[in-house]
Amino acid sequence: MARPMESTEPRAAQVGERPARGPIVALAGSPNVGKSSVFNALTGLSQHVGNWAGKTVEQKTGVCHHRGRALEIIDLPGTYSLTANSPEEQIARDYVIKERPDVVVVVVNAANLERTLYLLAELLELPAPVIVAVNMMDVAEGQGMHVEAHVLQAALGIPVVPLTATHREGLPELLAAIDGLLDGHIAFRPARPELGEGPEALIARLEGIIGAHAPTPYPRRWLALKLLEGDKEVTALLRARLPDAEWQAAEAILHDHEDAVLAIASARYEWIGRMVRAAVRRPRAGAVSLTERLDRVATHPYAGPALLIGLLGLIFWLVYHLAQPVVGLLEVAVGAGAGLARTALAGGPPWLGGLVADGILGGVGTVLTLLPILAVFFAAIAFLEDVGYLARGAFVADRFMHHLGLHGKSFLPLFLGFGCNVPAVLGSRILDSRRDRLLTTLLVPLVPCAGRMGVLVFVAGALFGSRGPLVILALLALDLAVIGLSGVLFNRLLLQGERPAFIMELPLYHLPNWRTIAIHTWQRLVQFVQRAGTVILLLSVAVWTLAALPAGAIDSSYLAAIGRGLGPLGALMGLDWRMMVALLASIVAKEQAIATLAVLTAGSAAPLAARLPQLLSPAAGLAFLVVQMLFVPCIGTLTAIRHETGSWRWTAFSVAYLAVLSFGVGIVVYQVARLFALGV
Amino acid sequence: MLLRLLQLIAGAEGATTQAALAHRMGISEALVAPMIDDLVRLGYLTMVEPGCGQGHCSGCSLSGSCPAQPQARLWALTAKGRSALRQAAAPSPQ
Repeated sequence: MARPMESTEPRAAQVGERPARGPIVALAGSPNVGKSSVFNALTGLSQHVGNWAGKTVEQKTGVCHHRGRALEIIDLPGTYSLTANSPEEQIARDYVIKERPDVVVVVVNAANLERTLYLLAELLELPAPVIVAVNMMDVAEGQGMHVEAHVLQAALGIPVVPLTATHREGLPELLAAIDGLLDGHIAFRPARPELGEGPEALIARLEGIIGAHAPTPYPRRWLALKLLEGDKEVTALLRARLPDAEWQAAEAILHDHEDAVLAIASARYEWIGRMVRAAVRRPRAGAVSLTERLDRVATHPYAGPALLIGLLGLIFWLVYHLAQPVVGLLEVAVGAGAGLARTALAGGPPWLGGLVADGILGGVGTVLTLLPILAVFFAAIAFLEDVGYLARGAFVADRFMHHLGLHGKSFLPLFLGFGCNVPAVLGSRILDSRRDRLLTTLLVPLVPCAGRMGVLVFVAGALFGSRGPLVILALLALDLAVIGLSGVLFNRLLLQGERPAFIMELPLYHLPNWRTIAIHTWQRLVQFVQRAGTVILLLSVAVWTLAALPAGAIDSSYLAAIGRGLGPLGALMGLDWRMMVALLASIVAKEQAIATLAVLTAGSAAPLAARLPQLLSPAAGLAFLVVQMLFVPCIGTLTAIRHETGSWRWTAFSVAYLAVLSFGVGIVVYQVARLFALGV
Repeated sequence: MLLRLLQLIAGAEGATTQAALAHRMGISEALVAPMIDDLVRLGYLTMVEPGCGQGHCSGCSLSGSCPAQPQARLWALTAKGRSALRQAAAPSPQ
């Protein structure tokens, strides 16, 4: 509630007091400049609230008694500019032009002059005496900024009053400035933005065309200016007023200078920049924000990618050192569970024990041992997201892709691919052209999703022990190279269009919210477990069945027949039929590769991680990891590709490309590794 | 000034930030922000839809497992923006 005014301060009229007609003072300003605080401080309880005529925009008026005057205060709607883009902007400018207030007080935010001075630049084009009230001085000081009002006043050539309306500081000075303008004691020589020769020449030509047809009370220059700015209301007004010949002449100028608005707005921003440079002192370089300091490294052309790679390395180091011991414990538990099930079902049909112990517990149980790996992976990603780094990672990744000639916007869906390829393929819709969408859709399956990462980490850990993180990093480097080369290849064949760059607003860094990180990690793990309980379970049973039929022996099973059909191809990579079947099964779901291996190698008491080194030499293991990383995506992703491309041909191309690519690179890796004696 | 901003965006190698643009133009970041808003209002820039383009993340069944629901706002050049740059680059008629 307003406190009583001192004699030097304005006296607010009492409730119910009939407002006396007096000089009209209009309050203008952008949203969030504290204009309402200024209005309340000036008018106290004498406020009248209604609507602007014919509009649903609220109108607030009040009276302020000061030194024998009853100032009528009109609170104009908050606007950033005076172009008729919204009812608020239309009301504000119509009021100033048609009602001709005696004084317009433009309230600006001392802490954000850059955004709030634009309105002043426009108001100075109108025939109204203007005072600038620099409000929220306390907020600016709190941010280490110092606004020198007297310097701003000298630069602008109009009265400038520093204000903290919430504390009623500066109100007497504001009222004194209003008095001074009303009485003619204060000079009003505004330094308006200089629009430059080009726009001024166009304005002069348009003014000449408008001539005597300018509707009252609009100033002719202002009409010409707004025409050039593309103001729809002014355009309609003049279209109705001007004779056809004059309108066609005006239209020809507008058509030839469609971008004149850029020059006009630029002149205003240059003017704002000059005013701010003159009047605002900012914190010194030593006091730059934490975000700014961190971003000097995180978004640096060289340090940024190094940091991103370092963080990825750290994530895999954490995965190995935190998750692998727990994976080992879970494997023992799954093995014990399978043993118990086999014992418990020993009295039943022979196939039942095999199904439950090897098919269900062996398949689904082994996939569930990936949980610790994914928990650390998801938590690390959620942490980076929560502290604000992930957007920087995307920024750095985008630069990498741009250097390879890829579409800038592609990085968004590609980045989504780290979680799951399905939304990443769907996300290619944000791209404008079909060629760009197609390119992105073809590249997405090369981004290793969480399921694929889980398999890679599990197998690399089983085969290479403490060197697992290095192997994973090398795989990721290879993956990036393959994405880059594939992008260049597709780009040459499919795309020769423009690669539009864009601006990215990076969020501020902040301390992590552990609860948010925990919730994100939990949600992702629950989804993984749900998949294990449905798709993986069904396919594990199917794999076990195919491996058991027709005679109950794996080596003579239907599945073995399928796998042996791929034998010649597998032999080039040192992979036996079981590894080839595991790769094929991963088309249903990436984690299924692990479940299938567990089912096909059942019979040993050792956990799968211990069985893998007997199945794979280091060279064959590397080949398997490479093929698994680059192989045909899961059915869900293929369905999304079919849906987004609308073409079976492109879907088939994607499958064929990835199959050839993965097996081709796998063969090369195996043969090269053998040269280094890793084939044993 | 706005044309220069458009030129810097178009000439950037990949994504750029408001801070980088402000640095290149020798102005404050606080001045770049309203300039970008104005360029959007005038149709020279467009704001890129957040998320994967499927609408709001809250209604997506995959939101729980999506690691990169974008935290950052993005703006891209429009056809009008590219046209303005082409016109500015073209030699003016004698």
